[in-house]
Amino acid sequence: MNETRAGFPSAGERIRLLILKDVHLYYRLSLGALGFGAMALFLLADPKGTRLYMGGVLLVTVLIALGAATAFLTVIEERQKQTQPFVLSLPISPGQHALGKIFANALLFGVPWSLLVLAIVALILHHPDLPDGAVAPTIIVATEIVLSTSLILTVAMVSQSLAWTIAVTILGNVLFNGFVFLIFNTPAFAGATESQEITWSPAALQMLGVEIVGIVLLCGLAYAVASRRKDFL
Amino acid sequence: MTDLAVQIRGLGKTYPFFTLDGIDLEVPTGTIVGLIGAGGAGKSTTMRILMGLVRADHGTVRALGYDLSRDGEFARREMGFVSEDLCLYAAATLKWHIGWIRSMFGTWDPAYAEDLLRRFDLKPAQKIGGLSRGQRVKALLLLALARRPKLLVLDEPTAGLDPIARQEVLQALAEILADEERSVLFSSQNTLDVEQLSDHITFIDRGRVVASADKESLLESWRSIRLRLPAGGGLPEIPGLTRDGGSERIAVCKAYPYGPGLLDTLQAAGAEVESVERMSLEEIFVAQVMREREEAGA
Repeated sequence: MNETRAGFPSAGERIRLLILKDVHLYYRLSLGALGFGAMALFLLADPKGTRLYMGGVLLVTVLIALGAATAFLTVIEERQKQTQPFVLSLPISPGQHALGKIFANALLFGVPWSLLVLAIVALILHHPDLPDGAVAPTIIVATEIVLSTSLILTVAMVSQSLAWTIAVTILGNVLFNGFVFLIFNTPAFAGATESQEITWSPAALQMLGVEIVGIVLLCGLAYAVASRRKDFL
Repeated sequence: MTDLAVQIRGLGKTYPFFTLDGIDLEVPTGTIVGLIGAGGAGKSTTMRILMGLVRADHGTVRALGYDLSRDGEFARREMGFVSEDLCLYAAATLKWHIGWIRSMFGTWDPAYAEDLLRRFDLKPAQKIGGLSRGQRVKALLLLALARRPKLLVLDEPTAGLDPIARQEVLQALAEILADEERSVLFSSQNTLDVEQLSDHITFIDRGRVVASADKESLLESWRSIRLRLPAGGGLPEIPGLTRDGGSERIAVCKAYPYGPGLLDTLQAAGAEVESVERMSLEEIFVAQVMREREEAGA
């Protein structure tokens, strides 16, 4: 069977169109997150007392909320509002649809995440009151948010269930607080947090590696299950 | 080019409270096949399987020469689907939808799309969320028709529309009949719509096909006959003749299969034929379904 045919887009082009669709529909969410992220960075630019605390909490909240919202809107809402059958009545395979969802979420969440993480790292490196040693635990914590977002997206794509996705989002948030406490209070990860040098301990590198592998595995699982789905109603 | 746009064989799907039971259905190329059934009869399930939205438990489905279990993605390049199951993106405009679908289909006909926009009185800049139900159906039809599909699958496209919107939709559908290469599978509970548009009729009830024939043959094969019975004599026992009402001396019957010889037989048995009337598609559908249910229950 020929993959391409005169006048019809290739499989890659169709995946691109699916990604563009979701980005068009939900890019305002990413812009909003960048706006709140900028507010958080503004607070962190003068890291004293409650401003440091508020800025940190706001930044983390924005990133967690953005990750959950993109998964809910692009996957769960598409199913609940019956727009998914419309898309899948087009010449699109379940696998292309699944890849479209993963890459659209990667863009909608990944671009603001990258910009905000770059900004916070730059702030840490250039601000005299923020020790450079905080870079490693900050990146580990930020990457955990990506892992948590990947888990929410995977559960949404695999279960297509609002209830399960909410449950995993709540669980992820609860575990996140414990994770942050662990990272910033365990010498192996945060031993050099107060120093003015960026230090990646073996444990910190290992944790970052585990997170990245987890993200890849979750996205792979989401694709493997969603691309084999046969019922879309 | 295959002679059959759709060929469904032994299609089955079991849900907890409903079973689609060995559906056989054909849509010859260039024809409009009307699928008539009550709510929950299996029309939508059949169409969802045809469009790859639901997986069949068993049976084969071919459309436009493609085996849909394997090549549904390719078949759908030449298929259009309109159904009450489908929703467009409420937050996006019709213009955005047109642009997106256009980029998906090399066969998109912009002039035809413009024509449909005017005819359906749709405003491209309007968001889908602000459209009425009738306008949403028209928007779906526009997005399906302007890509010039070889096969159109229409699941209850006129359900819930006001009379004006319904007429506009039916008129647009009637015009596509002019294209002899275009095939249509059209389901409805409204037998008038199906009678108006279809070349071929299939009745479906409780997950089974109970009759399938070209429209004229179907309409010709049923008659409602009013008889005056002889004093002391009952309705003659004639295969295919079922009493539907009347009084002691008057019998109103449905005859299937009807042929001119039937009247001679009745008169020979002493009955006086007072009238013979064609039946509407709705009357035929109800009679056929009731007969099948009685036979199934017997």
